[in-house]
Amino acid sequence: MTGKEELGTMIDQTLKIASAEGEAIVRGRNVLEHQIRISNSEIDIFKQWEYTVLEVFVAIDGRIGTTEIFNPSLKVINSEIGHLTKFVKSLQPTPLFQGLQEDIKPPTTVENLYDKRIQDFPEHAPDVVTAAVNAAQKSGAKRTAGSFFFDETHVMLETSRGFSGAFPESTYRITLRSFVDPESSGQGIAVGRTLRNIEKTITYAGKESGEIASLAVNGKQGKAGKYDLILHPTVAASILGELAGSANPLLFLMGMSPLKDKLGEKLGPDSLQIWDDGRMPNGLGSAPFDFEGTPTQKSSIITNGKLEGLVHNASTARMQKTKSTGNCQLIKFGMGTKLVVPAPTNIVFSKGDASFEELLESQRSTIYVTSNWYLRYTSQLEGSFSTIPRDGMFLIKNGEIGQPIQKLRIADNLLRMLANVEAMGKEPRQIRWWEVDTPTFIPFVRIKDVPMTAATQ
Amino acid sequence: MSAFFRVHNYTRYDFMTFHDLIQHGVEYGDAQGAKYIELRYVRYLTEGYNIRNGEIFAAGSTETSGIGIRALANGGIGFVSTTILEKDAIQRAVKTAIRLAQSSKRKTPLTLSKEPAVQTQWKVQVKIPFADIASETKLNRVLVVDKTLKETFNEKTFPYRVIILSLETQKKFFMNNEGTQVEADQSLGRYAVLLTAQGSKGTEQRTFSRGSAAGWEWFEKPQFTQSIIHEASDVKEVADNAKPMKFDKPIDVVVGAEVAGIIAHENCGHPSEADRIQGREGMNAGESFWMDIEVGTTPVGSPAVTIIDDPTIPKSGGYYLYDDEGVKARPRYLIKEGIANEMLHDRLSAGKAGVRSNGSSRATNYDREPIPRMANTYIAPGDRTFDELIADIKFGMFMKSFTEWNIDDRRYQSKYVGSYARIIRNGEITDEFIRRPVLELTSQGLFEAVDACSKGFASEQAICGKSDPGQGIPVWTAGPDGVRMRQIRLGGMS
Repeated sequence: MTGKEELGTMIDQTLKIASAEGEAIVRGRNVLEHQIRISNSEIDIFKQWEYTVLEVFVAIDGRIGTTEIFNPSLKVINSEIGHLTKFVKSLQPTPLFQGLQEDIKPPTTVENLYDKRIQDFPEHAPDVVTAAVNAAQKSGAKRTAGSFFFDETHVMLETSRGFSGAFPESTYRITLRSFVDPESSGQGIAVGRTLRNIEKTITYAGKESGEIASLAVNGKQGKAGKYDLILHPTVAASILGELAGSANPLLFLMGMSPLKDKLGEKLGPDSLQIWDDGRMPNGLGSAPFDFEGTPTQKSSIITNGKLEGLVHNASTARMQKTKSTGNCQLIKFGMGTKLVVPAPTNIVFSKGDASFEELLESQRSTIYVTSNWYLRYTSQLEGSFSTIPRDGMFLIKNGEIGQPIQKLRIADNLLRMLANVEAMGKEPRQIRWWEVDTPTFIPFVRIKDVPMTAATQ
Repeated sequence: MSAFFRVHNYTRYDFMTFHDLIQHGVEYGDAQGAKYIELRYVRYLTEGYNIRNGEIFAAGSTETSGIGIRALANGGIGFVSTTILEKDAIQRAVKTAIRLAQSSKRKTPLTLSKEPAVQTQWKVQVKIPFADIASETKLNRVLVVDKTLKETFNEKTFPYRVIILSLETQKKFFMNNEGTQVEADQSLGRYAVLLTAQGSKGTEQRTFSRGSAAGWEWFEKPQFTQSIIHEASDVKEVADNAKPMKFDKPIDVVVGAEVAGIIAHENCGHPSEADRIQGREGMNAGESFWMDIEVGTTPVGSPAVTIIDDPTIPKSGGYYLYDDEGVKARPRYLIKEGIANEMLHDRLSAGKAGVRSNGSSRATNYDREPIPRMANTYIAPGDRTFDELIADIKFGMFMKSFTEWNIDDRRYQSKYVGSYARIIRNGEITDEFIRRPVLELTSQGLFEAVDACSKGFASEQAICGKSDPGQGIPVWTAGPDGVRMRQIRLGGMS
């Protein structure tokens, strides 16, 4: 990887060239990332990615463009920025860009983003994974699959408006899936930034996956109909987190959010609060500043059940005559293109006061869903969608987990599900896995009257 | 050969030809004790022109290049990618890949299938390279399409119009310590459109995509604009005319090529992937109901169903002639006349199964491991005309396109929500549009209901998602313009 000082020099040089005819942002990242993949309770592959990249945004007379320069050198930078500048000038102005953040504030810090123990972790990682697999087997799993990522990144950012900041970060995330037989499975997730308790958290994920898989044995075909659902945080993050993540003016512009024109409307119960929090302790999306150098913050999305705010960068904030919420990110869009647009950091749901056992207490037909995948829309504008529960799914009987069931589909509307939230658990978890891109802090959730469908033949 | 490394106009790697550099890495890995080692160089140029409601939303041009190194040692596999194309860096990366493989401490050693060594090259036939066309021209091509849309329909008909043009070229060089060397030049053009129509019966959203292994010449054809206008017309008709309907009894259903293609992909292609069947995708994309059957003998559909995955179709969206492990590609008959016939194998899954790879190994870029993937998956056309399929239906539905879809991770319980769907009465397609009909069927139930396929053929470009980190890979989903299923009970909530 490129040394810190050398990277700083290259960022300075890149910014100088890139902003010669307009505005520019340059972010340098030194990344060392690893992944261990597991199936049939053994390690299938151990991977490493190590690279230095400069991510460059250029705006000239309202025309914008981005590029990435891997393994940069001063010679390469001159050539690449020359190419980018020429490309940007050949385009037309975009309404999506209304100028960079002008209100520059000195960078502040977010505690505990980096744990230096990550540097020595690769040699211990196979043993940690093996311990988690053993925990799953002890809980009844016959075989376990999994994906374990851990990384360290050193970030430096400069903008042509005068912002300069840097921070290191480390993260880990593991998802383990245990099987007792091909149709009886369970999942566990552990994510974090500090390695202090990593063996404990990862072992718990293994244990939880094995326990759910064991309970799921002898599942019967579920019966289609309307049910109250108890959503595991993994499922709640996927469904309700999806709705919270659509409080984004970019999605409004494309007709891809059911929240368009709903600012100020009551959408959920009074007790429901949802924030975007770019400084959430232990949050995988936390950072001291965003891609424009704006300090991250805690911003309300839903307050007392009402849609109160959206995530913004400087451009969308100007369009809507408000201030950036520190949510500017560089997002891949199509091929070869990245957008400098607002995007969520960590989505945080308020916790309720119900224990898991209290959530189960009901006289109504109730199903507990532990995991889901493949959420797809009939209409993103309307929020109509379906998603498929996978792993253990259970009927609730007399306030307890009962008969395991299979092969049902949640087919509803995101707005209707939010309005039908009845109760929230009191222990939020951070969820980030294959199906949930934005780190989401959310407890168990109980939702009433959810349509569940099944195959007709 | 050294010009290969010239990214734009700089020549930082001219000190060593790229062939020598890769060969050095392979020899070094071999000497370091790797039982198997491969180095796969990929230079990947991507260009995008994206517009919303007639205005540019974003455009960009990105180039990446690097080497993916996969080593088999002590029964484990290590994978390292590097963007530093220098001798010392490659040696370090090779050493790390071997160390990571060794640290896996597997009880059951991994093996690769034995394949013949080949030294070859292949390329996509391109008339006009993307690099020869000015960015202004490329952007203008998309803007003209949007302008035509605006002129063809009332401005209020489509309040949201997003058009995404993607151009990709890849130069690859693969070498392993078994003597295989494959060089490839790939070029793929594709577009995706997201339309939201406001009609008298409500809003209707639809995404569709087309693509071809070709150069800029593909976008110069009039069909580029015509197909988008045609699709838009369908969406408008649905928004204006479609009404919810309930059916008390099962009805005959004919699906068009777009729906047939997604069915071939989801209900047959994915479950036939050998890594799923062996459990390797258990965490992410899931396993497969093909775990429970005998491939080669078990019926999974009616004799009218044959499904093929064929990477070798010229100009197709999933075109290749050698896969990313240097194995020669060929058509794979996944279902043959209703019988589960063949899995999609890479060398790793084939090694485990004790068979030969059928050239299904693909990786999206240098920094991803190659795994079993589909290419162009389609239901084989039959011998009837489309009209003949419709003619002997007394009451039924023609479902031409779909919106929402999903399938469980064993690839058994699928759902396809219709977009353009019309009632068939007495052998004719009527003007009665059905709003969002639901086909919610098991893979077996769906394929067993098929009694005939038409002669026509059409393809949709798609990006198939799999694995973690994700590898969205270009494929065609395709099929006859009519696949008839008898007596289907429509799904959803009653």
